[in-house]
Amino acid sequence: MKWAIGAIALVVVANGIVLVSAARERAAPATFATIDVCAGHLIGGGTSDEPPALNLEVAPESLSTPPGLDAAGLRALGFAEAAIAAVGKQRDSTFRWPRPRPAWVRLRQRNDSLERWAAVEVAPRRELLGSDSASIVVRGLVAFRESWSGPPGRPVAGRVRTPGAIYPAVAELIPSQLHLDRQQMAFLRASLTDTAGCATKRQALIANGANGGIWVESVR
Amino acid sequence: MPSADQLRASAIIAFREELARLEAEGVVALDPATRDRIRAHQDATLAALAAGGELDLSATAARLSAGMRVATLLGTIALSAAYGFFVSSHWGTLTLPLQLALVGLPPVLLAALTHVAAVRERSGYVASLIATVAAIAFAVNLGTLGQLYNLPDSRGALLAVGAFAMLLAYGYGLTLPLIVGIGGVGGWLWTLGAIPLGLWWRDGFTVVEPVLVVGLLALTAPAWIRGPAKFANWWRGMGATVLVLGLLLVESNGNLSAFATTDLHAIEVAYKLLGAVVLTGLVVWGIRRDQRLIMQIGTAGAVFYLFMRLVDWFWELLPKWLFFLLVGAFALAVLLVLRRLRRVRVEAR
Repeated sequence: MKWAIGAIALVVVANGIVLVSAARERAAPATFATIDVCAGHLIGGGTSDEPPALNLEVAPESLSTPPGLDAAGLRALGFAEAAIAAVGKQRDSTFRWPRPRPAWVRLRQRNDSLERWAAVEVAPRRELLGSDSASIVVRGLVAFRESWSGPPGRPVAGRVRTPGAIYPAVAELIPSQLHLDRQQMAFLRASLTDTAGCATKRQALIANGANGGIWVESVR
Repeated sequence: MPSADQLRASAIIAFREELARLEAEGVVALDPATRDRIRAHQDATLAALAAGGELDLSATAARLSAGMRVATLLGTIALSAAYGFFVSSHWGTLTLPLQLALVGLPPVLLAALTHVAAVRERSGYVASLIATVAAIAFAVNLGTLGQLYNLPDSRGALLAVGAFAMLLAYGYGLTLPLIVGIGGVGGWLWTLGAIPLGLWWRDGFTVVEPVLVVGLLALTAPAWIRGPAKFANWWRGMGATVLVLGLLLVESNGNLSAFATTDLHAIEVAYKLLGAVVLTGLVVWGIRRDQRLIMQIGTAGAVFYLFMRLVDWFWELLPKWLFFLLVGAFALAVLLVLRRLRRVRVEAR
């Protein structure tokens, strides 16, 4: 029986660590940001197979490079000099795609029709980022990408897409969704009836904890 | 893989059959007293072995056991899927305490049930199924807590689930949870390679060197981890497989190396040389230590390795028909070498 008790103790300890640290974090939020929520941002809930959540979708990298993704910032994130030197140029045969690097990212909602997110600041450590009442801070992965010119879609005769310059971007947010509880989801689903776009909006108060935690404090 | 008890029982049954054959052919005639003594001793041994777990005492029983193992695996997959889908389909309608209970209680209850099943059903099939579902439920538990509290994914979950599965595997001598445990703890060790490289833990899986170390550790684990004798083959088998796959991957794609910032060609050549040494070493080790599984994995890896070299060297150079003729000749050469090695071993015995 001692082995089963050991396994049970492991479950209890692992759950305890997560629950206690989350409770401590939520007891003292460090910053708040108010964001717009559209129907397209909602995932799951009800009888769906997906858990109810608010999706954080980063807009395509059409804006200028945010602070922290310049040469000095990329160096601070640990990218190799060869990769940094290739930024802004076309990829040649000697270029090797570097592996993504973890970073802290400050995000702000864009005022476009879909209210997606744009990275406004990137840093290797959280305390290096600024804060304001319109932005949230999450972890992310910075990777190198290649811009393409020409018509989108599969290349066909006469419609050739050509590779453009290499650029760094926030490739992934961690977490990429924020959990919504049952009541929050019910309220948002009931009040955001349009299934696409942002014709109707509601607001959510997002809290950032002192140790990097993030959660949806309330919706209205 | 048969347990040590099963091997002993099979040896006793084979001895009886061979003795009966020898007596029928008039080669030997044991006096009744000696035969009875041997029979009584073997009966007592079989009874003692059978008390320690279910044994296959005939070919039919062995086939039924194989069926039970398949049923265990299918049952584990089906029950785990049922639990996962049940959680996800009811998740959005539950309050937080119910959500926590729904994911927190199953691994606890199933761990306790594993103990009950192991005590009541000595074959271990039911306990193995329950323990594996418990480990998967624990993984669901940790993953769901991460979603509930918007936590970043973590390599710690791999270690926790691996350790949980290992506890149940070693506590009750269960093979399927052992495989989950080796996968979890091995995966955790693999991702540690991301730390010195400054990568996110998941990107540690794109670096091969740590997994080579994990493979070596697993290969040698039976020497420094005590446990049921039947576990040794699983440790060695999984270790050798990981080692072989890791080497085959990195020698053909230097980008998977931690040293990929330097000359890729040099890295690939270095791993080709290392691969030749390690694969040969595995085959020799398997033969010398009489570990058939290691020898088979090493041989499969070596054949694939040599096939890839043939492609590298001759695919562009030779007409297709000649290339495949060469591969066929190479396969025959491997057969001849292995046959010769087998004959040497048989003669040595």
